[in-house]
Amino acid sequence: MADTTVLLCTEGTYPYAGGGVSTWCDILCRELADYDFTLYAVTGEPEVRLRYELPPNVRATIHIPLWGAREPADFVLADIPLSELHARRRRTTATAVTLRFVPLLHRLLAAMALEASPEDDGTLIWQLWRWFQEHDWRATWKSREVWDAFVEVTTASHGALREPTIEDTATALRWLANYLLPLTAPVPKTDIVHTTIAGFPGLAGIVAKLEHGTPFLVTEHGVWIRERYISVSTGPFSDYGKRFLMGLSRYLARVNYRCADLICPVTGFNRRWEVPYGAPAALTETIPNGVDPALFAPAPKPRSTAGRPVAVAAARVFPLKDIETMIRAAAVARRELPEVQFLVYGSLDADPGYVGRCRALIAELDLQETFVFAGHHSKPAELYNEGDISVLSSISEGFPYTVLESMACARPVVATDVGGVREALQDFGILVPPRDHEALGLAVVGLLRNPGLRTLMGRQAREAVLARFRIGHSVGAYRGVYERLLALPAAPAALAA
Amino acid sequence: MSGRTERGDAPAGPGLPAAPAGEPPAHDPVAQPAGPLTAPAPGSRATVDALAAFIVDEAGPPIDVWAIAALLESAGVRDRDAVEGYGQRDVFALARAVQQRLPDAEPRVAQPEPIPPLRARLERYARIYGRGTFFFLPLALQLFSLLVVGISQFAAIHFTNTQASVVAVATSLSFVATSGFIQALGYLAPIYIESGKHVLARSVAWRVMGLGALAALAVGAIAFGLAAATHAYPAHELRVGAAYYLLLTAQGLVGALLYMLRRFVLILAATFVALVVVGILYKHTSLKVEQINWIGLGVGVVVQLGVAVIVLDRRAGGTRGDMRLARLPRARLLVRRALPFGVYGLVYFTFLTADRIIAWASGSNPLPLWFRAPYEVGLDVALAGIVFALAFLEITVENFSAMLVPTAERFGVDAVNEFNRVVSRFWARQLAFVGALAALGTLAATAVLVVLNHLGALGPIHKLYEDPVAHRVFGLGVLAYAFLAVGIANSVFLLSLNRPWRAIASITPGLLISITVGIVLTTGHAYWTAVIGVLAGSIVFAALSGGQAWRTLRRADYHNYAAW
Repeated sequence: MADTTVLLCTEGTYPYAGGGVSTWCDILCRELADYDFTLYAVTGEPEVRLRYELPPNVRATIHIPLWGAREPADFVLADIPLSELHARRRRTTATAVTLRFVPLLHRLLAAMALEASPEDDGTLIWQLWRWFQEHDWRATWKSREVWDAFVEVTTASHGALREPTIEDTATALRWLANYLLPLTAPVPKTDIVHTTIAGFPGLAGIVAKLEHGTPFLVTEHGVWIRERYISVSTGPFSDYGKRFLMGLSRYLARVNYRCADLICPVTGFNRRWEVPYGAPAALTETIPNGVDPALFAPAPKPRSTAGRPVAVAAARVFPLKDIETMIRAAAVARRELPEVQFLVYGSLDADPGYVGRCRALIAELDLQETFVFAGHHSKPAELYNEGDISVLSSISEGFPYTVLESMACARPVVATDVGGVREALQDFGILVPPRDHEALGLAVVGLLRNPGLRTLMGRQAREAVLARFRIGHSVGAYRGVYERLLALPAAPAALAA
Repeated sequence: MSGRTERGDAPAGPGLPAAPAGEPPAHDPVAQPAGPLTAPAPGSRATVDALAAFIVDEAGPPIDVWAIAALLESAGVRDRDAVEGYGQRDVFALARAVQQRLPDAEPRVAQPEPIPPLRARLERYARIYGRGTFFFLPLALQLFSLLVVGISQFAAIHFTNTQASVVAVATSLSFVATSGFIQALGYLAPIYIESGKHVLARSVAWRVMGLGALAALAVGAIAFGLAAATHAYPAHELRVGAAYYLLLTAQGLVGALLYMLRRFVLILAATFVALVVVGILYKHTSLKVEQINWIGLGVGVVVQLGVAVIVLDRRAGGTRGDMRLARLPRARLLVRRALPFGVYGLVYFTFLTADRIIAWASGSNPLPLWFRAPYEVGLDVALAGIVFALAFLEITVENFSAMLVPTAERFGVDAVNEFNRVVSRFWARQLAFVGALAALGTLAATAVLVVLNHLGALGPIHKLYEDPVAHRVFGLGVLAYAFLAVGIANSVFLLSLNRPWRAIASITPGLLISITVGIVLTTGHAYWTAVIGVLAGSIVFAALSGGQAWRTLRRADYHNYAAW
């Protein structure tokens, strides 16, 4: 057993889902074998399966499903004795709720209403956590005192353009109860808490910092608050619902940033959001992702694709990857290069409706022979070598592994200029504006028609990976960060007097 | 904006209203990834005004400038585009410029569902009401077979009073022993069925059924063991009674499975098949009536069980994706959740049978519990009259479930008092409907009996029609059941808002009053005065549940929120 322990907090990713963040987590745990990790995995629903064989230094997993459970005792507190659950219910009296919880709720709602950074240094989160360690979550949220207090606050200052209805109000309070469900879970004492997103999993880091004095590190692959803005703004919510959801998200993101001892985005692109949103610039350091160049190594095309110009893509098929634009780009490319083929490897399960739309578009454009959904690849490290180049059509990215992996395989990338793609690609690929299928298609044709340029770009791309984006660089940087955090003077535990 | 699921029409068992308690939100409302927006293409000559119009068009009035920046980026606008296309330093500066140019726009409001045309509404009511009455069709089929063929699955017209007494006791005991589990199943299983976790639904179903079977065996062992130990019943009658008890218990439990699976027609079909078998054996063999009944019950149980197994397994096998990984919480947590609904079911069925047991127990008889045909006929006809009102409770459950959230969506948060008044008025109207239907149903049942008697078509129950005890029991029974229907209607509201203990707190005193008054009266007076006990108990139940419902619905805002 290692001397140093890390609580690694994730949301909707490792170890229950694939994708870039999970890959990063898996690499981190495996490469830092001299650290022991406990996973604190927040998921949407309870029904999840392990997608990774966990390395031996992952000692435990705390699974926190936010939704789909009736109460924490179903899953989060599944190991708590029933006698303790009963004691918590007994302690959750109307008087206790009125005197101790309702004031916390008032402070939380006030903090959520602020557009600027809250004064709160995490104490409120910690106090809420302390409440839920001794009291019953369900009895608290279902109490009349909480509802009356919430209605009173909402009536007085809802901040929405249209007055919320009673149902809006009830729904919002139910949301709040579920989103704060992680506060019911015990937070183990570790040497470091490392969250992969400045959102709900970060609650554990804030609590650990105040309860145990544990250093708190935030790594953001995508910017959580930015993604929340997009999802909530375009979601099917009332104006009040949007403002309520974003009030909570805004508060949580800012308290995460405020409490973090260090914030390490994977790309400088993320800092554009994080620093103006409250992350102290002096505490923000970019650590790009890295890949294993021995695993992702150039190889000749296999017989199945040899002799045909092929563009491969590694992407889960869902809207953020904008596969529809890639399909239209394939039509553009076929116009110029009739034998071209686009091979897309990746899960088709993320959004079946979107996959259906894509298939319909393929049929509409008569691209069945040109554009192929190939599903999972049995050897992901080899998929790039099936093509001459790779393609990325996303409208939003952090610092995508698919670009680095393709570069490591000396396959130049045609990608949309989003997120940290430019930082990764430098000049060793072609960037096009997002959602511009004409530009994407013509760039693909340009590279496929020019083997000399392809070879040159591919070689330079691999050299760039070897120089800057190896796993060793990334993991080494985190090792350094961990050591710096461990050397910090112990933060005062339990700030509350 | 809806954050919880509604369970509005899960039948809990024959004659019992559904318990559509709210469940907590099942999914993250913000979980769906946003797709590409169709903004004016970056780099085009779009103006800031066009971008502002696009933002409002896509997302309504934006929450703040950050939301604008995020939406612009998600539409493909980059810092480079902000500089080259719009003369702004970066996307954030562009977002601020857009914010200055936002057109006036009202937030989007979800349009309420249009009110369906009258014909569609009437058809819906007819469908729901038909389902309500459907609960009673298997019993009606049994009665029809009894009167026309002379035998049903668990009775025969030529039963001796000893046989009738034994079967009646076994029937009542099986009702009471299984009722709590039937109601608990009706509460638990739909939670998993409606969320697509059919593997769990199957698991819960078999667990509850298994527990129910064990409990029923224990109850049977105690009851029949006591009877044997005290030599209260001859050994033969005990054996016959035990066989009926076991088969009726099995039928009750497997029938509840099909109710849970909403296979109503199959219940009717299984009953029909069993009655055909019983009829053929009765007419064409020399088997004893008890043996024919057992075969009939056995056929019904096997058919229903087979269907239940097939349906449960097929659904479980078809469970999709990660739903297969779903697991149940600890058993004791499930028990704690289902307990109040089980208790309510137990008390409810005990309420329905207590007065009969008291009547059968009064006086000096050949057996400790002696079947009283006039009492039974009087009460059963009264019950037939109330069926119309009880069936209406299906509509009440559906309507309440359908009106609560839309009504809460109509009232602003500063108008909770008005909202609560509207919900209370809805409750009062439903009670009025139930009362009116109870009266109409009673009149109809009376009229049918009078006409049938006038036509000489009452057949074997003609003698009982002439019995003054049957008339007295009918008159008092009608009143009792009318109050009972009101009590159940109140309970429907309490159960719908997940307040089962309030319903239990209403019906339990009613049951105690019913038993106490029944015992006191039948000790000093004729056996039929037990019906006065059930009348007194029903009045208490109606009054207490009315108080509880009023207390609950005047804070409908809170109880709507807290129904999860």
